[in-house]
Amino acid sequence: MTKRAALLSIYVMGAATVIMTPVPAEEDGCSHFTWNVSHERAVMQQKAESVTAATRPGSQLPLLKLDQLYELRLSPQAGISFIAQPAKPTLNDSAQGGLVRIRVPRAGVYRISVSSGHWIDVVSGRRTIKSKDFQGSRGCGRPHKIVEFELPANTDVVIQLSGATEASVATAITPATAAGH
Amino acid sequence: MAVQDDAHPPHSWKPLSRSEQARFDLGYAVFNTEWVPANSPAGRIDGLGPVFNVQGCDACHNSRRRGRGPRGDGEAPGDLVVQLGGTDLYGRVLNTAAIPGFKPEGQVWIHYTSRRVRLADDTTIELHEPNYRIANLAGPPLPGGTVLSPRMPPAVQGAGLLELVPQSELESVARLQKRATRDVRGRISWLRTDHGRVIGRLGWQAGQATVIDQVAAAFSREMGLTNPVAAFDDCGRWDAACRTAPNGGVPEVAPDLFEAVVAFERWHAVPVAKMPDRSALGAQLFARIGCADCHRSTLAIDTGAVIHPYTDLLLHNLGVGLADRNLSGALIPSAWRTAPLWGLHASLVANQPPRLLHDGRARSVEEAVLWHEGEALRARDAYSHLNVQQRQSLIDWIAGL
Repeated sequence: MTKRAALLSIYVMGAATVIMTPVPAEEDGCSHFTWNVSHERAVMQQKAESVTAATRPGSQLPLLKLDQLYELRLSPQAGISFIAQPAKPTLNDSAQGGLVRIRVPRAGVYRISVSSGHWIDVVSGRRTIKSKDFQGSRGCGRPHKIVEFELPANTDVVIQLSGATEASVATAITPATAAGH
Repeated sequence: MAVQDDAHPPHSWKPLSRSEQARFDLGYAVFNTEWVPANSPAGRIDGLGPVFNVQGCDACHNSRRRGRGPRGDGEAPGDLVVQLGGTDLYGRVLNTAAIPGFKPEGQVWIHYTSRRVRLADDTTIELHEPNYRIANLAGPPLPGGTVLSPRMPPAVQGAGLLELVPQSELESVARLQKRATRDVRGRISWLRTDHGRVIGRLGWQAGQATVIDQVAAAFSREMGLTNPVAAFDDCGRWDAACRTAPNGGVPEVAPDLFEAVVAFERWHAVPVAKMPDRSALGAQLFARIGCADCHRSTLAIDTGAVIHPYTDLLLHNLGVGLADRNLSGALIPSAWRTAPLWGLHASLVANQPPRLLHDGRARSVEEAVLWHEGEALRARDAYSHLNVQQRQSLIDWIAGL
């Protein structure tokens, strides 16, 4: 054995292979989340309350509750006055958006789950709260995408949706701790 | 660190005129836009698919950075694209998603096996080697000789500057490697095109010459969007339904939107956390053990300026460990362009484990180093002889680039 081989031994535990097989039945489109999303999936199976998202800021913004499923009806993005410009601008063509608000009793990390690929901004006052993390699962409709934000207690924060074409979006807001994190 | 920089605004590496800034901004908006199937509704952003991998550029390129890549065993995420070689049954890319009414071409599943590397001080590092499984093909089986080339989306930042490195600079670097090293033999990637030979500077294997080529290929192959350069979607040979599917215009990506994305990517600056400290221990080790033979800190560009991409843009043999395989399991000799390391810190800030190398198999800078073989074997061996403090200094320095 050479000195190099002696000092840098590589043990191959399994040979690389490529094979073609059918997919096991249990592997569904929602299995791609690596977070525990059981709570979010359960909430998103509830009966949804239909809410029309606002097109401009103001006191009339619908107030969403935690752990409740909403079907948000959105409006053409080109006609929406966002409080803060969406952090990821998109073409307005066919895009739908809207504004709602949330007030949480305890400061902490909360998840906003949606059934679409909409970009989600959370605004407190005029300050955008940066997301902590996100996950998505292609092939999973409810939820399709989850974004985590750290929210302040007892303060109205505005949720802005933008950048996707679905005009109706299932939406739920849940404490991240509900998933046992 | 959190994903707080996920929506960080892009900057250009050169001053932009008002009209250039407008193109840059339009390109950024197109980059972020999710495309929709043809006529749903008709407009500028319809024509997705019918088979595709992702709905928009940002879905793969993760805020213009490297893709997030696979998290572990399971179905490959949309941002790990598997290119197919040696067959046109399913086109160049296996499209793993489809619009309603169509079937995805197939699915890709990954299972990692363990490969242990022991360093000189008896530290053992566990590497993960990916094994790919193709499932649920929509059409005929793939021949055993089909080459699977899984590829992570590279960062788009700085691509326009790499385009500007002249042939003379690449030839000079190749000569220097031949003269100064025993085993590093970088070579220019020459590509044959309808217009003659051109140099490939972009992509994991320097298979593309320009940002235009990259953008055109990504739109057509990975999103199913025809564009001013690529007139056809990436349909499989057997798939007549794909080829005759309704389109979202001819081309589907309008010329002004296409040009805007090209301008955006071409002018996008590389994020700089801080100028690399070349007197740092990590920098000295980077040079001493041979990393810098290929990951060159400085290259001249056409404008007379220099850039600091930490690549030589040349192709190298990196050994069998990184080689692609065909469906029969046979190794396919693979040459790799030295991956640019500039802006690497931006891909490591996320609250996510990094996924490095062409298929995201490396979960850390150290793992990426230890996958190097072939022309980089000497440098890897030298790394294995460093003590733990030296290794950490080197890794920290690389991660800060």
